[in-house]
Amino acid sequence: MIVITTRGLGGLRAALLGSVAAELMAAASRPVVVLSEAAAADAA
Amino acid sequence: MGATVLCAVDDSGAAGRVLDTACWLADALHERLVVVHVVPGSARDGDDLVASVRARLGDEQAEVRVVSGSPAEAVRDTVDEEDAAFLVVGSRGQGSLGAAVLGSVSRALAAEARCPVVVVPSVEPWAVADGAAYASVVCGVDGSDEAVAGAVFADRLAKRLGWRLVVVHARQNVRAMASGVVGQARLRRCLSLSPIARPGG
Repeated sequence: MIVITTRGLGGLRAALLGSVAAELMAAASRPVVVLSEAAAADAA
Repeated sequence: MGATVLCAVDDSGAAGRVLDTACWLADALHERLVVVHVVPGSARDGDDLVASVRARLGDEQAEVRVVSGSPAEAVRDTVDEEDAAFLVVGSRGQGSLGAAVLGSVSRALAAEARCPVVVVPSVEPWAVADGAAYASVVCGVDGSDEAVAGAVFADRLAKRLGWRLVVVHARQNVRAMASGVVGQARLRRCLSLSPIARPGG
């Protein structure tokens, strides 16, 4: 399992999901746990 | 029973694997599983899917919600209503073009959901039965505050699963490793970790 955070990018966050996170989500052979800026703040 | 693992499924062929992963995670963390399916029209349009989800789970009483509306918005609303601890979705990745055609719903949810989003691979043979065999949580970090928070989350998750935590800090050139060492010291303080090995160190 892979855990990765993605940083907020203003109003275009959905379109501009971090490139590393997007690549992992598309290509990883294991589940990828993605923490958005809001989720990371809650997790801290 | 603790918090909620919310699983969003569609009627694609990958839905079974997404559902199995959510079920496994809820069991492993002793949390409640709720399945949500979004339909464009009447909620009754999802009756067949509800039946197939319950059959796959082997539980006729499993909580399955069918909601209508925009998929990303409806799932996000359900995350908030349930105060979900995790959201599980499929990736719909497509090999080498995966980054370009990654499902728009998964992308939007991963970027904006208020809880961690577990994206289940659709192209590789990930199977829940393999979960115990992998037994590692790998966390990628850079020097950001968000990454440190992610590492703290990964540490907690690994402990709850009884898995090993591996923190990875990748740099494109060796000269940049010096600043990475500063980040490692901060991570060690946050996670109470022993020193992290450096390549060749």
